[in-house]
Amino acid sequence: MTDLRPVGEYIGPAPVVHPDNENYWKALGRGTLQLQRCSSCGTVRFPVAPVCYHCGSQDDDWVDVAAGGSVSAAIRVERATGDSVWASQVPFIAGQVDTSSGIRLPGRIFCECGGALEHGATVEGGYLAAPGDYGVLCFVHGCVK
Amino acid sequence: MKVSAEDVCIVGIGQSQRFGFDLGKSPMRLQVEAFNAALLDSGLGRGDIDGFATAHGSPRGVDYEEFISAVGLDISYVDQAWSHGRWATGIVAHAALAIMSGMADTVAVCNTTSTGKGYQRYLKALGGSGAKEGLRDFGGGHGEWAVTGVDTPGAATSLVAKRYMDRYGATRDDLARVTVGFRENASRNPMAILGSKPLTMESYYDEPVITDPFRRCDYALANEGSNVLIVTSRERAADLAKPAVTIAGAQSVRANRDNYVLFSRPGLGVGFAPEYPFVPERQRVYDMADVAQSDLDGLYLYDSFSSNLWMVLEQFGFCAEGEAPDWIRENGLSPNSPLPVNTNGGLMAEGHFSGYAHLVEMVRQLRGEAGERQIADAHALQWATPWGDSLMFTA
Ligand SMILES: [Zn+2]
Ligand SMILES: [Zn+2]
Repeated sequence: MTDLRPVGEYIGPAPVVHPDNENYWKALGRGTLQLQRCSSCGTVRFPVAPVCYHCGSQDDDWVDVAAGGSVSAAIRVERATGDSVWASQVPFIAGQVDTSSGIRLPGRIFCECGGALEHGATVEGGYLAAPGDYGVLCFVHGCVK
Repeated sequence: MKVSAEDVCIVGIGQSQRFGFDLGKSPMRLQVEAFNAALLDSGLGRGDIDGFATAHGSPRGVDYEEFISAVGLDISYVDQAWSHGRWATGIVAHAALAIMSGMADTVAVCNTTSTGKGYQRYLKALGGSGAKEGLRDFGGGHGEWAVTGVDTPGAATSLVAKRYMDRYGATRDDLARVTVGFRENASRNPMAILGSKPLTMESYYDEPVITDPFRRCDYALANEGSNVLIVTSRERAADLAKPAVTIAGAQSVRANRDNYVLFSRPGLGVGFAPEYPFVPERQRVYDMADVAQSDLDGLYLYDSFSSNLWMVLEQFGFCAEGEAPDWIRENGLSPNSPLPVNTNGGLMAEGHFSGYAHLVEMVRQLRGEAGERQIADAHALQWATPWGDSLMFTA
């Protein structure tokens, strides 16, 4: 069991949840990151898919995955030019994190000091609670108490 | 009639009367302007066109059957691709293949774009402008993912630029040099939307930051206009007034997990692509065209964002990984540079026409019709994108 840090309510466009991917969003709603591990070759895959990109097998199990790691790249969004829902959030930091599980994952990065913009900054995994008992993965820099 | 690969050429080019942010003309009207201009340029009549290809359908552009019915064409080869910027190579290459196979004799490649703030405000019932790919399970092909706040191609590509800058030590000035260079090229292009809006290495920093490190001017424009190219066989071209431009080589968009984030580059480590030392593959477009990089007289790229030039230069092997900013500083981007780049000003300064206006410019340059931005003695020009697709035009 990997426990993600609860960060609060998710603000953003609703995730598109359907039977193929529902477990991903539900696990996050419980504060756990789960991804599919191929039953045939053992590859843990991201994003969610009904097939293993390495061997083509359609058999898999959902396994807990560690979400903490180091920032690969992060940017500061200053203006919401896409979905207007982000206008209430700018400026904010988002990016991609090389997790200790070896998988690179995208998400918002909560940081008040700007240190998370540095390549290599350490962050822990977090989650935002979304309607429907779903959750959205995010990351948290050490400066956030 | 079957036509061999080296005997497919472009014989006509046309554009809407103007390019702009809000032209007050429907996509159909813009495309008719460009189509008629291309017919006039080629010396062909409407009855000579038996093939039609477009990427953007409604509401940004015009669906093929709507256009053909309105113009009164009789078409036996149709190709309409996904309403995205990424198909300029694909539909031109498919038009060439249709001519080679005998499916068509003469194909009009048409592309028109309108904007949400422009004519699309009247066309909302058709579905509006927003592509919601960011909500797919994989996020969008640019690396945008709706739930992370990186929900636009620009935000996702600024992440590409940031990773590149961190990894290779490229600077904000290096980004600015691309943007300023294309803007300067646009100043010699009367059609360019930002042609009369100069940008310097100093004024670049006055532009607002959208998604750091990108400022507004690191983004391509969102605008309106139309471009048309007429493709046919060399035999047919021989009767026409203008010199034919040969489609000498082509290669497709590259698609795999390494290339999922479109404006990145294999090996850079953006999205779910692995990070590794990058050595470009041999690019088949050069072999097909029998043109070496050292033979090129100009390079044209899909410059939706300033960092795209870094990706193209490295992916196509113009320089080693991490060396693109130095290459740009030494080479320059102007028509007088050792290798001129985007002499039209590109998507960032002429206007975002998904590459079709670049292709029109390449034809102009190869005919010697480019006026004060003419590349001296232009014989071989390459179109290339960060997705790995490419066309070679020669004359
Ligand atoms: Zn497998
Ligand atoms: Zn911080």
